[in-house]
Amino acid sequence: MTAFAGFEEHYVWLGRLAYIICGDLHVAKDLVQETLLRAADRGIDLADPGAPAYMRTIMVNLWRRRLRRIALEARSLTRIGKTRMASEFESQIGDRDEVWRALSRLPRERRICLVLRYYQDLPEAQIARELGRPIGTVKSHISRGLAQLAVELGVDSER
Amino acid sequence: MNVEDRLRAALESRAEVGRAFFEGHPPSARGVRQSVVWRVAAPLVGLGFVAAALWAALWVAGGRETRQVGQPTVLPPPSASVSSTPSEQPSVDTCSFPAFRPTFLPWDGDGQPPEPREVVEEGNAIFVWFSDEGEEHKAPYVSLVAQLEPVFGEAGDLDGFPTAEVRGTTGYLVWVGDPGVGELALTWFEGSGPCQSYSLHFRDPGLSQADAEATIERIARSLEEGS
Repeated sequence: MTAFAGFEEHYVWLGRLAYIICGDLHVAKDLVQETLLRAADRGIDLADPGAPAYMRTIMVNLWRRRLRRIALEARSLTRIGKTRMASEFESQIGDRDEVWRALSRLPRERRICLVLRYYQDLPEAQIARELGRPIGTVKSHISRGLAQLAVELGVDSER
Repeated sequence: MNVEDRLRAALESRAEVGRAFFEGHPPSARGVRQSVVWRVAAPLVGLGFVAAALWAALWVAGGRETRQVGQPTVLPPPSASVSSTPSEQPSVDTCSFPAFRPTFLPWDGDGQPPEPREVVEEGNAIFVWFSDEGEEHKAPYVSLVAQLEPVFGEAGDLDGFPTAEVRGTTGYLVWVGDPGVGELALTWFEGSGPCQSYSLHFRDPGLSQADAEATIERIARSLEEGS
């Protein structure tokens, strides 16, 4: 178990981030477990100050990988009991959250960039580094994502 | 309240749902134990998606034995979503397999490639070539996907990404790997309708990102109709 020493302190924050990126609690849980496993595989010291950025990168790329996501979802869907529990859990907010629904309709890269910018409060340059993208692309995703949200919500899109 | 404020509030609200869930659902001992077994026997860094499907099957079956993972396996596992009949007619919700294939695979060099695995997942028709059929979980692989809908976003979402020519059009290089691991997807559009976008994936844990880029570009240049 030494490979996972320190993982507890990362589990919840990674889980929150995974959930708002992917929108499904059990898929998020799989993402987090796999992220921690990969971090351990690569010998990352989870107590290192750079570990969160590293784990964000791993997790986001796991989510980006469509085929991996399909596999995760397939695994998740087999847990019928847990799936029901998650549905009940999520119904605490449910369809009342129109921003959440609008966010879920954004293209994946826009959603990822918005979450990292407005939930993690990361500067655009750091998002670009962690995602391996030009900063212009990140700025574009954020700008377009906000504009799309504004249209769907009928609100002011000025930043 | 402007859109940024509403977005922040919505994300915080949802994050609280996530926090409550994750605090109440710590990693299961079974999951961690299985993870440690995998770490020893089959590092996930090398997993392709078919190996992930195997893992899913083992998970469902309660498989926990290290030797099960390490043994040569027969893949893909039984699944309604896996097609083993190349001549099978796709439904309207499923793409046909690409009419083109690479004539260069990094581990084989130039020439006629072996027959790929054929997989259908959520309407995507996928060819997969593993460098070592007995070691899917850690072997480099190439896959070619006819996508029911664009996986990495519409063409306009990819402006600014590194590009590479593929089949006479512009492809976008999307990094999909772990830090320090050579893994890329090259995605492109041959139309705007269903099944008119494609992605080529390449993963080799032993390569740098730059070498992986050069390799996937070479694979892309080798795509030929009817090969």
